[in-house]
Amino acid sequence: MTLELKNVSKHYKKKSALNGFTYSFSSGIYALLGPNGAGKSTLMNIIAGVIDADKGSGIFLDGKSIDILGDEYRSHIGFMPQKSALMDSFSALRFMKYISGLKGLKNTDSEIGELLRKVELFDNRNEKCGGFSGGMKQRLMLAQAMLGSPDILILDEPTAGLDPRQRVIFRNMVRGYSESKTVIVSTHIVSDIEAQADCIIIMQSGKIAASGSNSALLTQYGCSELEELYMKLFGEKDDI
Amino acid sequence: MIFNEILKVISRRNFIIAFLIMLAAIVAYTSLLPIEDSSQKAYNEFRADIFGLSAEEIGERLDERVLELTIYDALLWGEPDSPAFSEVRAAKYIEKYKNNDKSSVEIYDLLKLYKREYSCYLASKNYKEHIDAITKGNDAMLTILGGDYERKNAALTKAAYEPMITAAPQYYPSEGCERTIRNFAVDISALTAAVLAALLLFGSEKNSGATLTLSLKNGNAKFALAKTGAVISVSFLVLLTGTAAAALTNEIRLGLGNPLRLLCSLARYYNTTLNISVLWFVILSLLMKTAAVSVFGMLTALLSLLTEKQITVLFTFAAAAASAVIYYKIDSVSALAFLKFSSPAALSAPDELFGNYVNIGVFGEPINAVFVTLLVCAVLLMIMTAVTALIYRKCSVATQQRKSKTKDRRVSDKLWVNELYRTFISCKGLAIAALFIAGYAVRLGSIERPFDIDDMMYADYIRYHGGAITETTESYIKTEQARFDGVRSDMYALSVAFSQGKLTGTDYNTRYAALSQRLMGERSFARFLAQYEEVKDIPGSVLIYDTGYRKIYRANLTALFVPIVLMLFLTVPVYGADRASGFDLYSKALKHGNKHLLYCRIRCGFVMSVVFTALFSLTMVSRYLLLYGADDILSGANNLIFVSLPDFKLPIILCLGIMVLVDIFIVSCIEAVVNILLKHRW
Repeated sequence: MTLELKNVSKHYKKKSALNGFTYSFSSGIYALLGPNGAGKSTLMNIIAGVIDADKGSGIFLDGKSIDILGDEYRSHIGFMPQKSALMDSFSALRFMKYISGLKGLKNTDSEIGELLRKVELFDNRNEKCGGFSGGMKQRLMLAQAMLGSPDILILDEPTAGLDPRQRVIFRNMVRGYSESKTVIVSTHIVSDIEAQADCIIIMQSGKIAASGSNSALLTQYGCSELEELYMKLFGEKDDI
Repeated sequence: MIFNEILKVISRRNFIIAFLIMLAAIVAYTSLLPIEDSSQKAYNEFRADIFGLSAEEIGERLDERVLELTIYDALLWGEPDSPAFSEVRAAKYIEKYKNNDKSSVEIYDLLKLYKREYSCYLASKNYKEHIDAITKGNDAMLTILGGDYERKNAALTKAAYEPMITAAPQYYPSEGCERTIRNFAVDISALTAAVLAALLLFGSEKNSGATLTLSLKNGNAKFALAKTGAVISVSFLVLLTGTAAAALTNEIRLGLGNPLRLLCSLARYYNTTLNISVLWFVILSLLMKTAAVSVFGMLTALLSLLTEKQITVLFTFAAAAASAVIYYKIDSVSALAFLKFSSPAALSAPDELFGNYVNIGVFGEPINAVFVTLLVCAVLLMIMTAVTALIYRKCSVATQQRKSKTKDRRVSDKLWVNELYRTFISCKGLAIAALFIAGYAVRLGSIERPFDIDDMMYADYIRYHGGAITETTESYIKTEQARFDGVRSDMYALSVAFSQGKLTGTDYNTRYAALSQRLMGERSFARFLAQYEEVKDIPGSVLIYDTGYRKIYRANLTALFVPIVLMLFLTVPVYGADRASGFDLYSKALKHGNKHLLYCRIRCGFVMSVVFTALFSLTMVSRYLLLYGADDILSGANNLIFVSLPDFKLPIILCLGIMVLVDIFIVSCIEAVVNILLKHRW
């Protein structure tokens, strides 16, 4: 499955959040890196269908425009937003079932149980989300994004609030998931993606500043580590 | 700081939406409230009649119209010997009657209205005498040997009315002003605004921002006081705009008159001791109502610091309802009068509080009821504010206790089941609905059949001579009419004899009283006759006792508000929760998170609308049928003259069913529109 973005832009009054973003995603892990305000979340929200891109933008799934596909496109998407959108009064289990209904899925009991075990929330499945810690909420949001095994997984800051052990679990989950699917991850935590991202897209002011595999980028910029590359690009000045 | 806190509230989209809905509800409520003892048509004619006239000219016009309508009334019922004809001016009205196109019911409505307004006009003319009578009465009380309390009470009362000795009320129909000052929808809106503001400023921020503000220099008690000021300010703003909306509506519908005329010019405030203008009183009542609703607002603030939000809303409205029950159910002369006037709900009835001078006994001393109400209100507000400020300083960010639950519960994956769960469990809709149902049950239970001798006699006419119109019916009507005509004729003859000195005063009074007794039932017969006149030409028509159906018809218009408001209370919090958690945006990424979810909510809303509307409407109908009977419920609706549909032959029971269905349709449509608007973030 190929997700193609052509000239995707988003402007808010005088501010340009995304500026002519063009890229093609196929199976594998894609990492979006960039400073705050680079347009990563905007891009994620547009791909997920949460906000609309400006006119002239084109998003295509296997050659078909998502505007034409409509709800059919959303059945291929699993989205984990930056801010958890949990219902405090729902239990984890009820929330997963609710999302299952909203995704149009049926007979998901075993899948929900398996996902909750993977994110280590199975024992807390009957507890209300309002009482969860930040990390638990993140894990539950990750589980709901994966529900239904969508072809395209969009994860916005997925490891925020997770302890190191849980981040390792997350990396393993994503790696196992991406073998036949597309995973797009945006993060500030370089270590989470540098070892496993198939492609790193560095964003700056709503545009692609650089993209390529980890090794290619390091060679291109003469750095030994991705963090060094990040600091080189964004450490002292805003523009490359 | 207060200004920022106010901005926090009024700039919130949810608050703006709620405010607009409240304004619309105020306008609708004020527009649809039935006019006392009159129809809108009669009132419109009355208003047009007195438009542009000075107070003196209005008095003359009222006098003329009362005479004219009395003559018309007499001529309609065939009373050529009515005393009204002895007036010099009668001849022109008798001539004018030849062109009369009004029915007996319309004439009767107008006559009632004009008589009522004329008596108000005369009262304003005789105001000085009225105050003199009060003063003299109190002087007499002071000279009579009685208890200490009675003397003090009389002295206080006399002193209270002294400023009114020089007052000169100016007559103008007062219903418009009275309904502006006392408006249930405005009071409820202000209460809702106070609660919302308190929730937004205290409850919401407790979880989201308190950890930051509590660490700042001005983030403690001072901050809490600023928030309190904001709650009070928002309450005042809503009261002000709501009252303005009600005033505008009443000006269009009823007329307000000169706002600078004295308060005692209004019929319900005739016995007031406040020598101020209507406008000043409106301002004063706004300030007092602000204090009253702020008490409940601060109760919400206090509770929201201690518990979860949804419970505080329920508790606050329950407290307000309890306050209203205490005020309206306890008699002002009972031993519990102090409790009655300590209730903040007393300020929702300014005409009762300020329309008369009332003292209540407090430890054997007469204390003015208004003073008690205002003092208790002020003390409650200060206590709530102080405690809230103290608790805010010490409060910690509340976290929900995670109770370890390992026992699996059956959880459905059906969207509509989870949506109903969200509405009734998560957003406490079940408790809200229970509150509404309980309140409505109390309201319905308090509806009693009033002791109306005219209506009872009318019912007797129908019982013994109603049903299908036959020759016997017509013959009876002629006989009964002749009987009343005969009495009137005898009364006229008696008046003539007395004026000619053929009778002593005592004789005249005795005989006149005896004749008056024989006129008992004349008004009831007039109603019976009016019904006969309206339906006699409709084939297959019957004479039926229609009081209950008339009440149902009028009650239905205002009863419709209850399910509408309940549906708003059930629907809006779900979207509010979505917005607060960010789920409303996130759901757009889900396959069924857009139209499908909206349609699901509309379907759930439809089911709820059907259930609740049917419940409220059918219980209302049943209550009135229980009180007034349903003997003719299978008769055609064309026999109901107040409906004025001579060709509508469906049975009344079916029409009642259609009425309920129409209510359901209206509520469902409103529910669907609200869902669409909220889903699209308007």
